Amino acid sequence: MVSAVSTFACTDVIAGAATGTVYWFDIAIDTSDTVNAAFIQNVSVSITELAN
Amino acid sequence: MVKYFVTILTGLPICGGVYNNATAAGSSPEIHLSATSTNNTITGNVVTSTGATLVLNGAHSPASGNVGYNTAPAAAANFKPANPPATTSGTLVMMGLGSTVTFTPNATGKIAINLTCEIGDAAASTNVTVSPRYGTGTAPRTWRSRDRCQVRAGRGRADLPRGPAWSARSARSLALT
Repeated sequence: MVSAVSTFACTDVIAGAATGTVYWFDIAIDTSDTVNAAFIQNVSVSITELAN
Repeated sequence: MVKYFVTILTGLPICGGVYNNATAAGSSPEIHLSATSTNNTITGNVVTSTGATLVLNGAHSPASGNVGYNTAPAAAANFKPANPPATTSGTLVMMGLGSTVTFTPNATGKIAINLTCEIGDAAASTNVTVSPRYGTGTAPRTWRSRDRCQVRAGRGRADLPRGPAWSARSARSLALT
């Protein structure tokens, strides 16, 4: 049963990544209520390499 | 001796002028654009600047392979991974998205990420901490807080050795009501 849902958005730029190297992207979460489970859903990720 | 030709296709001169120094022995051809010109790009043997497009020809053109030019950035990537399983962990655990959400920079190494999702909990009045992370090597599996992977030195937390946060501001604690 889901009692509470909130939206989360993160926009950022990572500089200095090594070209030709595969980078993974993930999300870590925890909950203050270890009896009731926390979750994420409807994840959408857009990644672009900037020219400058 | 002029090593290549510059043809202004649009008939519009690039402010500040264009020249090449290919006549100098052992030199590499250069194209100088005005400091006020913007949005300059080089794709193959086509140089585009504000209001003008140039095509380079000759042995020393970028297309010849004899001179360096900007490598094209990697193609943009979009991901909509399946919803990961919920967790009752009181410490940060990975959601296992890294096996599918990957990106390989090709040119500048500057990566822009835009992530959106919904955070939920089975109970109201709960604080859920969300911490986007990235790294190289084998991506962490779902819920594994001790998976090892390569991380950038100095960017990760001691209790989360599996990957650095994107930035200090990316980790948030959401109070779900």
